[in-house]
Amino acid sequence: MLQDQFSVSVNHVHALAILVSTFHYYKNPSAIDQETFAEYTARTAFERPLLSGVAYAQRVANSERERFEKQHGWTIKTMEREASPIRDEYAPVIFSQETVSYIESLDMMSGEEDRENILRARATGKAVLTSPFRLLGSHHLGVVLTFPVYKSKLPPNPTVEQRIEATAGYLGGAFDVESLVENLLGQLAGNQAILVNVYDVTNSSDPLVMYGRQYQDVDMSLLHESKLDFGDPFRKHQMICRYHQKEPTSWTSLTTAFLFFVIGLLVGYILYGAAIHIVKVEDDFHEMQELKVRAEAADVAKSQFLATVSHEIRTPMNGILGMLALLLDTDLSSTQRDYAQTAQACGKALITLINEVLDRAKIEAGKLELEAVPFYLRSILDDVLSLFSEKSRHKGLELAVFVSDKVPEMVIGDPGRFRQIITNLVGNSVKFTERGHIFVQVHLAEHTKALMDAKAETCLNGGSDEGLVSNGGSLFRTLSGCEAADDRNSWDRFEHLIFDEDLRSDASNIMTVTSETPEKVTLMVSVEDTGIGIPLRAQGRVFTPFMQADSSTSRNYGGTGIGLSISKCLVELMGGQIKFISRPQIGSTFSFTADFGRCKINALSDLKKSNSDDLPIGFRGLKAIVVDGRPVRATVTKYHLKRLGILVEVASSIKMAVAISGKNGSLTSGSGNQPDMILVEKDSWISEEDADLNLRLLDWKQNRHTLKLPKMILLATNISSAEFDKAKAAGFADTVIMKPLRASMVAACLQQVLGLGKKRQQGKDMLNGSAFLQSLLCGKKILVVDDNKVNRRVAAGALKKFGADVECAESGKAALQLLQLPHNFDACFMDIQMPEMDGFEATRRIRLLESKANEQMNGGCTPEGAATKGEWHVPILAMTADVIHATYDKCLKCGMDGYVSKPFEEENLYQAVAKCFKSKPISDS
Amino acid sequence: MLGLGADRLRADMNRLLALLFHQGVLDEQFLQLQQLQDETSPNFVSEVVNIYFHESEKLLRNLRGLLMDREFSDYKKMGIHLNQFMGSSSSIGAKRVRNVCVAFRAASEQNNRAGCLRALELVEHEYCYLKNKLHELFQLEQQRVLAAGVRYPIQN
Repeated sequence: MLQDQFSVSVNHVHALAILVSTFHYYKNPSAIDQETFAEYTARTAFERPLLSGVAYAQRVANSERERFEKQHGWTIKTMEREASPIRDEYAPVIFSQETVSYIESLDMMSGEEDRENILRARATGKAVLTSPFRLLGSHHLGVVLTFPVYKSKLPPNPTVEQRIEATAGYLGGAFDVESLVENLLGQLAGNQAILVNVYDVTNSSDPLVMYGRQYQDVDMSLLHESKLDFGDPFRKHQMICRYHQKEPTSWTSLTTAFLFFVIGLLVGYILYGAAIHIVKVEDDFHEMQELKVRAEAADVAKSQFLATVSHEIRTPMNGILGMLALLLDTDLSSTQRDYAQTAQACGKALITLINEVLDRAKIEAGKLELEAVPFYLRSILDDVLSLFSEKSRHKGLELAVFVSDKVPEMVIGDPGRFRQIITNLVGNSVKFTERGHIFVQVHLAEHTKALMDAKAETCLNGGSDEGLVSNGGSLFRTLSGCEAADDRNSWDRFEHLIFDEDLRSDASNIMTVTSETPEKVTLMVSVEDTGIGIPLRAQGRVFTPFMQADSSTSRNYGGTGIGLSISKCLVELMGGQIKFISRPQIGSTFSFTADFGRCKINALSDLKKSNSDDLPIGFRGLKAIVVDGRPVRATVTKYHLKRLGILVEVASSIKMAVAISGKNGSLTSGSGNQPDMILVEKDSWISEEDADLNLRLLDWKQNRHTLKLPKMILLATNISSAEFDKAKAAGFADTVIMKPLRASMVAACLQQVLGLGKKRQQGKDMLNGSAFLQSLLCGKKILVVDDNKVNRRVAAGALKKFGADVECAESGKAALQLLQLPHNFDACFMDIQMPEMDGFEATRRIRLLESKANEQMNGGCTPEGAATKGEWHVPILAMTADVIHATYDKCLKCGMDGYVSKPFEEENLYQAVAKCFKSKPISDS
Repeated sequence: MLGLGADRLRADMNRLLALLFHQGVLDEQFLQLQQLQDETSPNFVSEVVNIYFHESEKLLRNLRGLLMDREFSDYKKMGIHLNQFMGSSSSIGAKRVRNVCVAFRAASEQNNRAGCLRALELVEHEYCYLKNKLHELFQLEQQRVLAAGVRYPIQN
C-alpha cells in the first residue's frame, strides 16, 4: 500500500513536471506563477499522499543569475539561507506549494543530496530519489523526489547531453517519510505498536535508515521484510516491520492454546482409555478362552468321571443284586421278602439309572458309536411291545404297533439303540397313560411328508364320511377311541396313509425292479398315547436331562427324566430329529425320524437263514376275517396277520363278516375261498352281543355244506374269567389272543388253534433263555479243549447243564487226535492260549484235515457214517478272556466260527451257539 | 428245630458270600458257577474249586521254585504259569487272586524280581484267604445239606 501510494505520488509529480513544462515554458508568457502553482498544488495535494510538498526550481546558469534575480526581485540563497556563492548554475525554487513555501528562492543545487539528485534526474529524465536526509523546515528524515522539466521537446531517444541541454528546471517533492508512515501505520496497525523501519539498502552492507529507529532490544524473530520499489531503479528500499515490544501475551491465543491442550489431553485420555479398554478386553478374552478351555476340560472330565464312576458303581451293584437274588431264594418271612424285594427293585432302578447316566456321559464324551448291522425292524418293535405287554394289559391299555408295508424288512443301523429309544418312549407312554391306547407307528419319512399335503386337501374337502364317526361307538377314530394329541394319527389320516400305500405298492414294485433303491431310508416313528400329557409350561424342557414336568411327577411316576434326553441324543446320532405334540389331559405324540441303511438283497437272504426272527411260513395263503368296528385297530390286526402271510378282510361287524364269507361261498363253491379264521375284537363282540352267534354259525354251516368251520378267535386287551367263560359259551371255543398283538405270538396262538407244525414251532417260541439253549445243545457231542483244568471243568459243567455230551482235551494235540475224521463231534470249544499248540494253530490243522477229507469225498469215495450230505465242518468256537475285536477277527481268519467269552456267561454262550447251530436245521430241512 | 438250623446255615452262607463279594474276593463268576450246579451235578462247585485248589497249589509251588532259583529265573515260564493261574481264577470268580496275578505278570514281564517276590507273597496270602473262606463255605454247605437232608423224612 505504501508502495502504491508512493507510485501514485510519483506519477502525479511527473504530471506536475509536465504541467510546468507545458504551461510555464511552452506558453509565452508563462501561464503559471507562484500563486497559480501554490493553488494548484494545494488543491491536488490529495493526489500525492506521501509528499509533504512540491516545489519547482528553475535552472539558472551563472550568466543568467543577475537577470533572474532582477526579474524575481530576490537573490538566490543557499540552503543555509545565505546569499549563494557563485556557481556554474543554480536551481532556485521559483514555485512552491504553501506547505514548503520556506524553500522559495533557495538554491536546490546547494544541498549535497539535492544537487546530486538534480544531476541524476536531468541525466536520466526519470524520477530520482535522494538518500534519506534531514529535511529543511521539519527535522524529519525525508527523501526528495526530483523530476526534470525540459523546456523543449526531446527527440525520441535523447542522449544525456541532449537531456541536460533541454533541462529547464526541476520539480521536486519532499517525502516526509517519517510523519507519513506514522500516519499510515496509525490506520493500519491500530493500537499495536508496530515498528516499521524503512531502509535504503542501495549499499547493502550499510543500510541507511529512512524511517524508524534502531532498537536493539526488539524481538528480531518476528519481523517482516519486504522490498519497496519507489520507481527509482538506482535505489533499493526495504521495509522491515516488527513489533515494538515483545509480543504481548494474547489471551485468546492463550485460551485457544489452553483449550487445544485440554482437548488434546482429553483426546489423549480417550485414546489411552480406549487402548486400555482394548487391552483389557483382549485380556478378558484370553481369560475367557482359557476358562472356556478349562470348562470344556472340566466337562469332559465330568463325563469321564461319570462314565468311570458309573462303571465302578455297576460292579458292586451287580454284587448287591446278585446277593439280593440269592437272598430271595432263601426262606424268608413275608416281611423280609417284601424288604428284600423292595431292595432289589431299588437296586434294579439304580442300575438302570446308572446305565442311563453312563449312556449320557458316553454320548457327551463322544464315545458312543452306533453300530451298523442289519436287523429286523419289526421284530425289534415286537420285542419292545412284549416288554410292556404285561403292564399295558394290567392297566387295560391298547398297545399296538404298525409298520408300513413300505418300510423294508431289514434295515442297517443300531438295533440296540433303536430299541432303547422306542423302549424309552413307549415306557414313558405306559407310565403316564391310565386309559386309552399307545400306538407305535413306523412309516417312511418321505411318505408321511407327502401325506401332509394330502391331509390338507382332505381338510378342504371336508369330512365326507362323517357319518361313520359313531360307527364304532367312539368319539374319536383313533386306536382306542380316545382323543389323541396329534390328530394326524386318527383314521382320517391313517386311511390315507394305507390307501396311498396300496396304490403305490404296485408302482413301487415296478420301480424297485427297474431302478436302484437309494442307499438310505429315513423312517418316521411315532409313539402316540392318551396319557396325562405334558403341561404346557414344561414342554420346553422335556429334552433337558433330569428335568421332569414338575417335582410331583417323579413322586407319582418315578423316573429321573434322563431318558428323553438320551433318546434325543441317540436320535440325533442317527441323523434324525425328535419332536412331540402334547395336550394336557389328552395325550402326547412323540415322533422321530432316523436314517437307516438299506439292506442289499443278497445280504438279506443270507441273514434270513441265520436270524432267529423269521416267522413261521405255515400260514401262507390262509384267509381270515377281522371283525372290528375301529378301522385303525383293524388295520393293526391286519398288519400282524399279513406278516404271517394271511390274507385278511376287514368287517365292521359280525353280520358283515358272515355276509362277506357267505358271498364268497356262493360265488365259488367249495372251500377254496372260505375263511380259515374269524378274529373278533372283544369290543365288537360285546357291543353286538350276538347271543345267537352259535346259531349263525350253524346256519352258516348248513349253508356252506362244509365240514370245516372257520376258527373263531377273540382278540382282547384284558379279559375277566367271567367274560372268558361267556366267550367260550358264545362260540369262541378256539382261543383268545391277548393283546398287544405280536406276529410271533399270533403265530403261536394260531398254531395252537390250527394244530399245524406244533413241535417245531414250540422250539421257536422259546427263543430266549436257557430253555432254548438246552434245546440247541441237548444231545450234542461237544469237545472242550483247554489246558487249564479248572476252565475245562467249568466249561464242561456249563455245557453239560444244557444237556450236551461233553468230552475234554487238554491240549491242541489231543484235540487233533480226537478230531481225526471221521468223528462224531457236533462242535468244539477251543481255548486260544495254550502251550505247545495254541487254539489258532489247532483250528488251522483241523480245517486242513477237513478240507483234505472233503476233497477225497468229492473225488468219489463217499465215506459212510456221519455227514451224509455237505462237507466236513465242525463248528469251532474260540474261548477267550479278551473279547476285543482284533482277537475276534483273528479267530475268524483261522477258520473259527465264533467265540465265547471266558468265563462262560449264559447269554454270551447262547448267542454264539445259536449262531453256529442255527444254520444246521435249516439246511437240513 | 433242625430245619431252622438249615435256614440259619443258609443265612450264614449267604452272609459269608456277601462278605466275600464285598471284599472283592469273589465276583459274579462264582454265582454263575453256582448256577451250574443242579441235581445232576450236586457237587459241581466244590468239585471245580477243589480242582482249582489242586492246580493252584501246583502252580504256586512252581512259581516259588522258579523265583527261588537265584541265578536264573525263567520269566517266560512264569508268565505261562501265571496265565494259567489267572484263567482258572477268573473261571471260578476269584477276583482278588486274579488281580494280584495281573500285577504279578506285569512284574514278571519286566523281569522285576523284587516285584515278583512281593507279588508272590501277596498271591499266596490271597490264595490262603480264599481257600480258608471257601472251605468255610463248603463246610457250611455240607452242614446245610445234612441239616436239610435230616428234614426230609420229617416233612414227608
